[in-house]
Amino acid sequence: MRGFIVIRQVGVFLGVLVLWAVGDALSLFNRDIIPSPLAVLEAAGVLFGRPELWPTLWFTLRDSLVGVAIAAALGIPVGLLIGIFPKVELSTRIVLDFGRAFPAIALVPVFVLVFGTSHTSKIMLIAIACFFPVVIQTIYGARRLEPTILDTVNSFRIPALMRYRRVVLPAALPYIATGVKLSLSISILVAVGAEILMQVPGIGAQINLARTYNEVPVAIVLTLYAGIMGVALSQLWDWVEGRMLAWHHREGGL
Amino acid sequence: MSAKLLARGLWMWWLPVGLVTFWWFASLGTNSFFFPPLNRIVSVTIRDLSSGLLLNHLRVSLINMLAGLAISGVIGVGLGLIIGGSRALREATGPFLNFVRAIPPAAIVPIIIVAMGVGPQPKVFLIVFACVWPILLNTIDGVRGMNPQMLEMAQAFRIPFGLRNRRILFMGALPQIMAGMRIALAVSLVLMVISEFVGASAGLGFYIREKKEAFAMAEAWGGTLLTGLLGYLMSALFLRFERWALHWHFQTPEPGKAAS
Repeated sequence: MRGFIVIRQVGVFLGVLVLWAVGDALSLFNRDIIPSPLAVLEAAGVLFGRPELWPTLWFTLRDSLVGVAIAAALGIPVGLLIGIFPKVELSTRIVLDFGRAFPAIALVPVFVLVFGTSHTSKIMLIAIACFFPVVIQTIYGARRLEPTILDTVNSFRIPALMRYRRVVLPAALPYIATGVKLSLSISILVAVGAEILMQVPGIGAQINLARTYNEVPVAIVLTLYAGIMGVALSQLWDWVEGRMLAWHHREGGL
Repeated sequence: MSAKLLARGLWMWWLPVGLVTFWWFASLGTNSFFFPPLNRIVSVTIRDLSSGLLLNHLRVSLINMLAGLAISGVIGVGLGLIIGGSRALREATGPFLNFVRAIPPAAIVPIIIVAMGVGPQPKVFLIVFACVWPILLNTIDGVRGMNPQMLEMAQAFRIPFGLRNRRILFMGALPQIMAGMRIALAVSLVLMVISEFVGASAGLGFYIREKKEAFAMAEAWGGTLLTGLLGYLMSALFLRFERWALHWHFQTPEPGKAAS
Protein backbone atom coordinates (compact mmCIF):
# COMPACT_ATOMS: atom_id res chain seq x y z
CA MET A 1 0.00 0.00 0.00
CA ARG A 2 2.82 2.33 0.96
CA GLY A 3 4.64 1.59 -2.29
CA PHE A 4 1.52 2.38 -4.23
CA ILE A 5 1.46 5.91 -2.80
CA VAL A 6 5.08 6.51 -3.75
CA ILE A 7 4.33 5.39 -7.31
CA ARG A 8 1.48 7.87 -7.51
CA GLN A 9 3.64 10.63 -6.05
CA VAL A 10 6.33 9.99 -8.64
CA GLY A 11 3.52 9.80 -11.18
CA VAL A 12 2.49 13.37 -10.39
CA PHE A 13 6.03 14.61 -11.11
CA LEU A 14 6.13 12.61 -14.36
CA GLY A 15 2.65 13.80 -15.31
CA VAL A 16 3.68 17.43 -14.93
CA LEU A 17 6.77 16.70 -17.05
CA VAL A 18 4.61 15.13 -19.76
CA LEU A 19 2.19 18.09 -19.69
CA TRP A 20 5.16 20.42 -19.97
CA ALA A 21 6.59 18.50 -22.96
CA VAL A 22 3.21 18.25 -24.72
CA GLY A 23 2.44 21.92 -24.08
CA ASP A 24 5.83 22.83 -25.46
CA ALA A 25 5.39 20.64 -28.54
CA LEU A 26 2.07 22.37 -29.21
CA SER A 27 3.91 25.69 -28.54
CA LEU A 28 1.40 26.68 -25.87
CA PHE A 29 4.11 28.34 -23.78
CA ASN A 30 6.19 31.41 -24.38
CA ARG A 31 9.69 29.96 -24.58
CA ASP A 32 11.13 33.11 -23.03
CA ILE A 33 9.36 32.08 -19.84
CA ILE A 34 8.97 28.30 -20.07
CA PRO A 35 11.62 26.75 -22.34
CA SER A 36 11.30 23.16 -23.56
CA PRO A 37 12.14 20.40 -21.05
CA LEU A 38 14.95 19.21 -23.33
CA ALA A 39 16.52 22.67 -23.37
CA VAL A 40 16.39 22.75 -19.57
CA LEU A 41 17.97 19.30 -19.33
CA GLU A 42 20.69 20.37 -21.73
CA ALA A 43 21.24 23.55 -19.71
CA ALA A 44 21.63 21.43 -16.56
CA GLY A 45 24.44 19.57 -18.32
CA VAL A 46 26.09 22.76 -19.53
CA LEU A 47 25.82 24.33 -16.10
CA PHE A 48 27.31 21.21 -14.49
CA GLY A 49 30.42 21.67 -16.61
CA ARG A 50 30.88 25.31 -15.60
CA PRO A 51 33.36 25.93 -12.81
CA GLU A 52 31.29 28.70 -11.25
CA LEU A 53 28.36 26.40 -10.35
CA TRP A 54 29.70 25.08 -7.02
CA PRO A 55 30.91 28.45 -5.66
CA THR A 56 27.54 29.93 -6.66
CA LEU A 57 25.54 27.32 -4.75
CA TRP A 58 27.97 27.54 -1.82
CA PHE A 59 27.66 31.34 -1.50
CA THR A 60 23.87 31.15 -1.32
CA LEU A 61 23.94 28.25 1.14
CA ARG A 62 26.64 29.76 3.34
CA ASP A 63 25.09 33.22 3.59
CA SER A 64 21.67 31.71 4.29
CA LEU A 65 23.03 29.55 7.09
CA VAL A 66 25.03 32.41 8.62
CA GLY A 67 21.93 34.63 8.49
CA VAL A 68 19.78 31.96 10.17
CA ALA A 69 22.46 31.39 12.82
CA ILE A 70 22.55 35.11 13.67
CA ALA A 71 18.74 35.26 13.71
CA ALA A 72 18.55 32.26 16.05
CA ALA A 73 21.32 33.53 18.35
CA LEU A 74 19.46 36.83 18.81
CA GLY A 75 15.90 35.63 18.39
CA ILE A 76 15.81 32.75 20.89
CA PRO A 77 16.86 34.79 23.97
CA VAL A 78 14.61 37.68 22.94
CA GLY A 79 11.71 35.30 22.39
CA LEU A 80 12.24 33.61 25.77
CA LEU A 81 12.31 36.99 27.53
CA ILE A 82 9.11 38.08 25.83
CA GLY A 83 7.43 34.74 26.39
CA ILE A 84 8.28 34.59 30.09
CA PHE A 85 7.45 38.15 31.18
CA PRO A 86 3.95 39.38 30.24
CA LYS A 87 5.04 43.01 30.72
CA VAL A 88 7.82 42.58 28.17
CA GLU A 89 5.33 41.00 25.78
CA LEU A 90 2.96 43.96 26.12
CA SER A 91 5.80 46.44 25.66
CA THR A 92 7.23 44.84 22.54
CA ARG A 93 3.95 43.86 20.88
CA ILE A 94 3.65 46.82 18.49
CA VAL A 95 7.34 46.85 17.57
CA LEU A 96 7.20 43.10 16.94
CA ASP A 97 4.03 43.35 14.83
CA PHE A 98 5.64 46.06 12.76
CA GLY A 99 8.83 44.03 12.35
CA ARG A 100 7.11 40.85 11.24
CA ALA A 101 4.95 42.71 8.71
CA PHE A 102 7.98 44.54 7.32
CA PRO A 103 9.34 43.02 4.08
CA ALA A 104 13.11 42.86 4.74
CA ILE A 105 13.79 42.90 1.00
CA ALA A 106 12.46 46.49 0.84
CA LEU A 107 15.62 47.52 2.68
CA VAL A 108 17.82 46.56 -0.28
CA PRO A 109 18.16 50.00 -1.91
CA VAL A 110 18.91 51.69 1.41
CA PHE A 111 21.35 48.92 2.37
CA VAL A 112 23.12 49.18 -0.99
CA LEU A 113 23.87 52.84 -0.32
CA VAL A 114 24.71 52.47 3.36
CA PHE A 115 26.60 49.16 3.44
CA GLY A 116 27.41 48.61 -0.23
CA THR A 117 26.70 45.50 -2.29
CA SER A 118 28.41 42.90 -0.15
CA HIS A 119 27.90 39.54 1.49
CA THR A 120 27.50 41.47 4.75
CA SER A 121 24.48 43.35 3.38
CA LYS A 122 22.98 40.08 2.16
CA ILE A 123 23.56 38.30 5.48
CA MET A 124 22.08 41.23 7.42
CA LEU A 125 18.93 41.14 5.27
CA ILE A 126 18.59 37.38 5.78
CA ALA A 127 19.12 37.75 9.54
CA ILE A 128 16.46 40.48 9.77
CA ALA A 129 13.95 38.43 7.77
CA CYS A 130 14.60 35.28 9.84
CA PHE A 131 14.71 37.00 13.24
CA PHE A 132 10.95 37.47 13.55
CA PRO A 133 9.78 33.90 12.84
CA VAL A 134 12.30 32.62 15.41
CA VAL A 135 11.13 35.14 18.01
CA ILE A 136 7.43 34.45 17.42
CA GLN A 137 7.82 30.67 17.62
CA THR A 138 10.00 30.97 20.74
CA ILE A 139 7.32 33.11 22.40
CA TYR A 140 4.69 30.46 21.62
CA GLY A 141 7.01 27.82 23.01
CA ALA A 142 7.77 29.65 26.23
CA ARG A 143 4.04 30.07 26.83
CA ARG A 144 3.13 26.46 26.19
CA LEU A 145 4.23 25.29 29.59
CA GLU A 146 1.60 23.10 31.18
CA PRO A 147 0.08 24.54 34.38
CA THR A 148 0.83 21.32 36.28
CA ILE A 149 4.52 21.63 35.47
CA LEU A 150 4.50 25.29 36.52
CA ASP A 151 2.76 24.37 39.78
CA THR A 152 5.33 21.68 40.46
CA VAL A 153 8.20 24.06 39.76
CA ASN A 154 6.61 26.68 42.01
CA SER A 155 5.91 24.35 44.91
CA PHE A 156 9.47 23.01 44.85
CA ARG A 157 10.73 26.61 44.79
CA ILE A 158 13.10 25.92 41.95
CA PRO A 159 15.39 28.96 41.54
CA ALA A 160 14.56 31.27 38.63
CA LEU A 161 17.68 30.67 36.55
CA MET A 162 17.49 26.92 36.84
CA ARG A 163 13.81 27.07 36.07
CA TYR A 164 14.44 28.87 32.77
CA ARG A 165 17.33 26.66 31.75
CA ARG A 166 15.87 23.33 32.78
CA VAL A 167 12.12 23.79 32.46
CA VAL A 168 11.12 26.65 30.16
CA LEU A 169 13.83 26.20 27.53
CA PRO A 170 13.32 22.45 27.01
CA ALA A 171 9.56 22.93 26.83
CA ALA A 172 10.03 25.64 24.21
CA LEU A 173 12.56 23.68 22.14
CA PRO A 174 10.09 21.99 19.75
CA TYR A 175 8.62 25.40 18.91
CA ILE A 176 12.06 26.96 18.53
CA ALA A 177 12.90 24.12 16.15
CA THR A 178 9.83 25.00 14.07
CA GLY A 179 10.93 28.64 14.03
CA VAL A 180 14.38 27.67 12.76
CA LYS A 181 12.83 25.45 10.10
CA LEU A 182 10.67 28.33 8.88
CA SER A 183 13.73 30.57 8.88
CA LEU A 184 15.73 28.10 6.81
CA SER A 185 13.26 28.26 3.93
CA ILE A 186 12.81 32.03 4.29
CA SER A 187 16.60 32.48 4.23
CA ILE A 188 16.95 30.90 0.78
CA LEU A 189 14.13 33.10 -0.55
CA VAL A 190 15.68 36.27 0.82
CA ALA A 191 19.19 35.25 -0.24
CA VAL A 192 18.14 34.71 -3.86
CA GLY A 193 16.10 37.93 -3.86
CA ALA A 194 19.00 39.93 -2.43
CA GLU A 195 21.44 38.39 -4.92
CA ILE A 196 19.18 39.33 -7.81
CA LEU A 197 18.72 42.89 -6.61
CA MET A 198 22.30 43.55 -5.44
CA GLN A 199 24.27 41.32 -7.82
CA VAL A 200 26.10 39.72 -4.87
CA PRO A 201 27.68 36.34 -5.82
CA GLY A 202 25.20 33.47 -5.46
CA ILE A 203 22.34 31.77 -7.29
CA GLY A 204 20.43 35.04 -7.80
CA ALA A 205 23.36 36.85 -9.41
CA GLN A 206 23.92 33.90 -11.79
CA ILE A 207 20.23 33.98 -12.72
CA ASN A 208 20.66 37.65 -13.62
CA LEU A 209 23.71 36.80 -15.74
CA ALA A 210 21.91 33.94 -17.48
CA ARG A 211 19.06 36.33 -18.22
CA THR A 212 21.37 38.94 -19.76
CA TYR A 213 23.05 36.26 -21.93
CA ASN A 214 19.55 35.15 -22.96
CA GLU A 215 20.07 31.73 -21.39
CA VAL A 216 16.58 31.26 -19.92
CA PRO A 217 17.00 27.45 -19.53
CA VAL A 218 20.10 28.03 -17.38
CA ALA A 219 18.14 30.48 -15.23
CA ILE A 220 15.37 27.87 -14.84
CA VAL A 221 17.89 25.21 -13.77
CA LEU A 222 19.36 27.60 -11.19
CA THR A 223 15.86 28.37 -9.92
CA LEU A 224 15.17 24.64 -9.52
CA TYR A 225 18.49 24.24 -7.67
CA ALA A 226 17.42 26.95 -5.23
CA GLY A 227 14.16 25.04 -4.70
CA ILE A 228 16.02 21.77 -4.14
CA MET A 229 18.30 23.53 -1.67
CA GLY A 230 15.28 24.73 0.29
CA VAL A 231 13.69 21.26 0.38
CA ALA A 232 17.01 19.63 1.31
CA LEU A 233 17.61 22.08 4.15
CA SER A 234 14.19 21.53 5.66
CA GLN A 235 14.48 17.73 5.31
CA LEU A 236 17.89 17.89 6.96
CA TRP A 237 16.47 20.00 9.75
CA ASP A 238 13.64 17.49 10.29
CA TRP A 239 16.30 14.81 10.72
CA VAL A 240 18.37 16.92 13.12
CA GLU A 241 15.25 17.81 15.08
CA GLY A 242 14.20 14.17 15.25
CA ARG A 243 17.52 13.25 16.82
CA MET A 244 17.83 16.25 19.13
CA LEU A 245 14.27 16.15 20.34
CA ALA A 246 13.96 12.37 20.45
CA TRP A 247 12.94 12.64 24.12
CA HIS A 248 10.11 14.98 23.16
CA HIS A 249 8.69 12.75 20.45
CA ARG A 250 9.02 9.69 22.69
CA GLU A 251 6.98 11.27 25.41
CA GLY A 252 4.44 12.42 22.87
CA GLY A 253 5.02 16.05 23.72
CA LEU A 254 5.30 17.81 27.04
CA MET B 1 -11.41 49.03 34.99
CA SER B 2 -10.46 52.09 33.01
CA ALA B 3 -7.33 52.54 35.12
CA LYS B 4 -6.40 49.00 34.20
CA LEU B 5 -7.01 49.75 30.54
CA LEU B 6 -4.90 52.87 30.78
CA ALA B 7 -2.01 50.95 32.35
CA ARG B 8 -2.26 48.38 29.59
CA GLY B 9 -2.19 51.11 26.95
CA LEU B 10 0.86 52.67 28.59
CA TRP B 11 2.69 49.35 28.65
CA MET B 12 1.85 48.75 25.01
CA TRP B 13 2.90 52.15 23.72
CA TRP B 14 5.90 53.26 25.77
CA LEU B 15 8.44 51.34 23.67
CA PRO B 16 7.32 52.25 20.14
CA VAL B 17 6.73 55.88 21.12
CA GLY B 18 10.04 55.95 23.00
CA LEU B 19 11.95 54.49 20.05
CA VAL B 20 10.52 56.97 17.56
CA THR B 21 11.07 59.89 19.94
CA PHE B 22 14.64 58.77 20.53
CA TRP B 23 15.27 58.49 16.79
CA TRP B 24 13.66 61.89 16.21
CA PHE B 25 15.82 63.74 18.75
CA ALA B 26 19.04 61.74 18.31
CA SER B 27 19.01 62.40 14.56
CA LEU B 28 18.03 66.06 14.88
CA GLY B 29 20.51 68.27 13.04
CA THR B 30 22.75 65.41 11.94
CA ASN B 31 24.74 65.85 8.75
CA SER B 32 25.01 62.12 8.09
CA PHE B 33 24.27 61.34 4.46
CA PHE B 34 23.21 57.76 5.12
CA PHE B 35 21.02 58.40 8.16
CA PRO B 36 19.23 61.69 7.55
CA PRO B 37 17.29 63.24 10.44
CA LEU B 38 13.89 61.65 11.00
CA ASN B 39 12.11 65.00 10.80
CA ARG B 40 13.44 65.43 7.26
CA ILE B 41 12.39 61.89 6.29
CA VAL B 42 8.89 62.58 7.59
CA SER B 43 8.62 66.00 5.97
CA VAL B 44 9.75 64.86 2.49
CA THR B 45 7.40 61.87 2.71
CA ILE B 46 4.49 64.10 3.64
CA ARG B 47 5.50 66.49 0.85
CA ASP B 48 5.47 63.69 -1.75
CA LEU B 49 2.27 62.24 -0.35
CA SER B 50 0.38 65.51 -0.45
CA SER B 51 1.61 66.32 -3.95
CA GLY B 52 -0.10 63.12 -5.08
CA LEU B 53 3.10 61.59 -6.49
CA LEU B 54 3.65 59.03 -3.76
CA LEU B 55 -0.09 58.47 -3.37
CA ASN B 56 -0.25 57.45 -7.02
CA HIS B 57 2.67 55.01 -6.60
CA LEU B 58 0.94 53.59 -3.53
CA ARG B 59 -2.29 53.13 -5.48
CA VAL B 60 -0.52 51.27 -8.33
CA SER B 61 1.21 48.93 -5.85
CA LEU B 62 -1.98 48.28 -3.90
CA ILE B 63 -4.01 47.45 -7.00
CA ASN B 64 -1.37 44.96 -8.18
CA MET B 65 -1.25 43.36 -4.74
CA LEU B 66 -4.99 43.07 -4.31
CA ALA B 67 -5.48 41.74 -7.84
CA GLY B 68 -2.75 39.15 -7.27
CA LEU B 69 -4.17 38.15 -3.91
CA ALA B 70 -7.70 37.81 -5.27
CA ILE B 71 -6.57 35.60 -8.16
CA SER B 72 -4.41 33.45 -5.87
CA GLY B 73 -7.31 33.12 -3.46
CA VAL B 74 -9.66 31.83 -6.15
CA ILE B 75 -7.10 29.39 -7.61
CA GLY B 76 -5.67 28.30 -4.26
CA VAL B 77 -8.98 27.70 -2.51
CA GLY B 78 -10.62 26.11 -5.57
CA LEU B 79 -7.79 23.65 -6.17
CA GLY B 80 -7.28 23.15 -2.44
CA LEU B 81 -10.88 22.03 -1.88
CA ILE B 82 -10.65 19.55 -4.76
CA ILE B 83 -7.26 18.15 -3.73
CA GLY B 84 -8.03 18.22 -0.02
CA GLY B 85 -11.38 16.53 -0.50
CA SER B 86 -9.83 13.40 -1.96
CA ARG B 87 -7.34 11.39 0.04
CA ALA B 88 -5.73 9.87 -3.04
CA LEU B 89 -5.16 13.24 -4.70
CA ARG B 90 -3.85 14.71 -1.46
CA GLU B 91 -1.26 12.01 -0.97
CA ALA B 92 -0.19 11.88 -4.58
CA THR B 93 0.36 15.62 -4.97
CA GLY B 94 2.00 16.21 -1.55
CA PRO B 95 5.70 15.98 -2.47
CA PHE B 96 5.22 17.84 -5.74
CA LEU B 97 3.44 20.77 -4.08
CA ASN B 98 6.06 20.92 -1.35
CA PHE B 99 8.78 21.12 -3.95
CA VAL B 100 7.10 23.83 -6.00
CA ARG B 101 6.49 25.84 -2.87
CA ALA B 102 10.20 25.76 -2.03
CA ILE B 103 11.13 27.42 -5.35
CA PRO B 104 12.04 31.02 -4.50
CA PRO B 105 9.59 33.20 -6.48
CA ALA B 106 12.18 35.97 -6.51
CA ALA B 107 14.31 33.80 -8.81
CA ILE B 108 11.89 34.08 -11.70
CA VAL B 109 11.43 37.84 -11.36
CA PRO B 110 14.12 38.75 -13.94
CA ILE B 111 12.81 36.16 -16.43
CA ILE B 112 9.20 37.32 -16.11
CA ILE B 113 9.98 41.04 -16.19
CA VAL B 114 12.12 40.73 -19.31
CA ALA B 115 9.57 38.50 -21.06
CA MET B 116 6.42 40.36 -20.05
CA GLY B 117 7.59 43.97 -19.81
CA VAL B 118 7.27 46.59 -17.10
CA GLY B 119 3.46 46.84 -16.97
CA PRO B 120 1.18 45.50 -14.25
CA GLN B 121 0.70 41.97 -15.75
CA PRO B 122 4.14 40.57 -14.79
CA LYS B 123 3.72 41.90 -11.25
CA VAL B 124 0.30 40.35 -10.80
CA PHE B 125 1.60 37.12 -12.34
CA LEU B 126 4.55 37.01 -9.92
CA ILE B 127 2.34 37.74 -6.92
CA VAL B 128 -0.04 34.96 -7.95
CA PHE B 129 2.86 32.56 -8.55
CA ALA B 130 4.12 33.19 -5.02
CA CYS B 131 0.81 33.51 -3.14
CA VAL B 132 -1.01 30.49 -4.54
CA TRP B 133 1.09 27.99 -2.54
CA PRO B 134 0.45 29.14 1.02
CA ILE B 135 -3.30 29.42 0.27
CA LEU B 136 -3.45 26.08 -1.57
CA LEU B 137 -1.48 24.15 1.07
CA ASN B 138 -3.40 25.68 3.95
CA THR B 139 -6.73 24.90 2.28
CA ILE B 140 -5.65 21.28 1.80
CA ASP B 141 -4.57 21.14 5.45
CA GLY B 142 -7.82 22.69 6.56
CA VAL B 143 -9.93 20.15 4.68
CA ARG B 144 -7.75 17.31 5.95
CA GLY B 145 -8.12 18.50 9.53
CA MET B 146 -11.91 18.49 9.33
CA ASN B 147 -13.98 16.06 11.29
CA PRO B 148 -14.30 13.01 8.99
CA GLN B 149 -17.87 12.53 10.22
CA MET B 150 -18.92 15.64 8.32
CA LEU B 151 -17.51 14.25 5.08
CA GLU B 152 -19.17 10.90 5.68
CA MET B 153 -22.41 12.65 6.36
CA ALA B 154 -22.11 14.57 3.08
CA GLN B 155 -21.45 11.28 1.32
CA ALA B 156 -24.35 9.53 2.99
CA PHE B 157 -26.74 12.29 1.96
CA ARG B 158 -25.22 12.33 -1.55
CA ILE B 159 -24.63 16.05 -1.43
CA PRO B 160 -23.47 17.16 -4.90
CA PHE B 161 -19.75 17.89 -5.42
CA GLY B 162 -20.11 21.65 -5.90
CA LEU B 163 -22.45 22.11 -2.98
CA ARG B 164 -20.26 19.93 -0.77
CA ASN B 165 -17.17 21.97 -1.64
CA ARG B 166 -18.85 25.31 -1.08
CA ARG B 167 -20.94 24.62 1.98
CA ILE B 168 -19.03 21.96 3.89
CA LEU B 169 -15.37 21.88 2.89
CA PHE B 170 -15.02 25.63 2.44
CA MET B 171 -16.67 26.50 5.74
CA GLY B 172 -14.81 23.76 7.57
CA ALA B 173 -11.45 24.82 6.18
CA LEU B 174 -12.13 28.56 6.52
CA PRO B 175 -9.94 29.13 9.61
CA GLN B 176 -6.99 27.51 7.83
CA ILE B 177 -7.78 29.32 4.58
CA MET B 178 -7.65 32.60 6.49
CA ALA B 179 -4.28 31.61 7.96
CA GLY B 180 -3.06 30.92 4.42
CA MET B 181 -4.37 34.28 3.22
CA ARG B 182 -2.53 35.99 6.05
CA ILE B 183 0.77 34.42 4.94
CA ALA B 184 -0.05 35.27 1.32
CA LEU B 185 -0.57 38.90 2.29
CA ALA B 186 3.00 39.17 3.59
CA VAL B 187 4.34 37.27 0.58
CA SER B 188 2.50 39.53 -1.86
CA LEU B 189 4.13 42.59 -0.28
CA VAL B 190 7.59 41.06 -0.76
CA LEU B 191 6.92 40.17 -4.40
CA MET B 192 5.37 43.56 -5.05
CA VAL B 193 8.51 45.28 -3.81
CA ILE B 194 11.00 42.99 -5.61
CA SER B 195 9.20 43.16 -8.95
CA GLU B 196 9.02 46.94 -8.74
CA PHE B 197 12.73 47.12 -7.93
CA VAL B 198 13.64 45.03 -10.97
CA GLY B 199 11.47 46.68 -13.60
CA ALA B 200 8.64 49.15 -13.21
CA SER B 201 7.60 52.65 -14.12
CA ALA B 202 5.34 53.15 -11.11
CA GLY B 203 4.80 51.78 -7.63
CA LEU B 204 6.23 52.05 -4.17
CA GLY B 205 9.29 49.95 -5.06
CA PHE B 206 9.90 52.08 -8.12
CA TYR B 207 9.79 55.23 -5.97
CA ILE B 208 12.36 53.85 -3.50
CA ARG B 209 14.65 52.72 -6.29
CA GLU B 210 14.39 55.98 -8.21
CA LYS B 211 15.19 58.00 -5.09
CA LYS B 212 18.10 55.70 -4.24
CA GLU B 213 19.57 56.15 -7.70
CA ALA B 214 19.27 59.92 -7.31
CA PHE B 215 21.01 59.58 -3.91
CA ALA B 216 17.96 61.17 -2.28
CA MET B 217 18.48 59.35 0.98
CA ALA B 218 15.63 60.89 2.98
CA GLU B 219 13.10 59.98 0.27
CA ALA B 220 14.48 56.43 -0.03
CA TRP B 221 14.19 55.95 3.75
CA GLY B 222 10.69 57.45 3.67
CA GLY B 223 9.52 55.04 0.96
CA THR B 224 11.04 52.10 2.83
CA LEU B 225 9.34 53.05 6.10
CA LEU B 226 6.08 53.61 4.24
CA THR B 227 6.32 50.06 2.84
CA GLY B 228 6.67 48.75 6.38
CA LEU B 229 3.72 50.83 7.53
CA LEU B 230 1.66 49.51 4.63
CA GLY B 231 2.48 45.93 5.63
CA TYR B 232 1.61 46.64 9.24
CA LEU B 233 -1.71 48.30 8.42
CA MET B 234 -2.70 45.61 5.93
CA SER B 235 -2.01 42.77 8.35
CA ALA B 236 -3.83 44.62 11.16
CA LEU B 237 -6.82 45.17 8.86
CA PHE B 238 -6.79 41.57 7.75
CA LEU B 239 -6.74 40.39 11.36
CA ARG B 240 -9.88 42.45 11.97
CA PHE B 241 -11.51 40.97 8.88
CA GLU B 242 -10.50 37.47 9.92
CA ARG B 243 -12.01 37.89 13.37
CA TRP B 244 -15.20 39.18 11.81
CA ALA B 245 -15.40 36.39 9.22
CA LEU B 246 -14.63 33.69 11.76
CA HIS B 247 -16.69 34.96 14.66
CA TRP B 248 -18.83 31.80 14.54
CA HIS B 249 -15.65 29.76 14.76
CA PHE B 250 -14.44 31.51 17.89
CA GLN B 251 -17.86 31.38 19.50
CA THR B 252 -18.41 27.64 19.31
CA PRO B 253 -15.56 25.81 21.02
CA GLU B 254 -14.29 23.29 18.44
CA PRO B 255 -17.58 22.08 16.98
CA GLY B 256 -15.98 18.99 15.42
CA LYS B 257 -14.43 17.66 18.58
CA ALA B 258 -17.39 18.33 20.83
CA ALA B 259 -19.56 16.09 18.67
CA SER B 260 -17.32 13.05 18.58
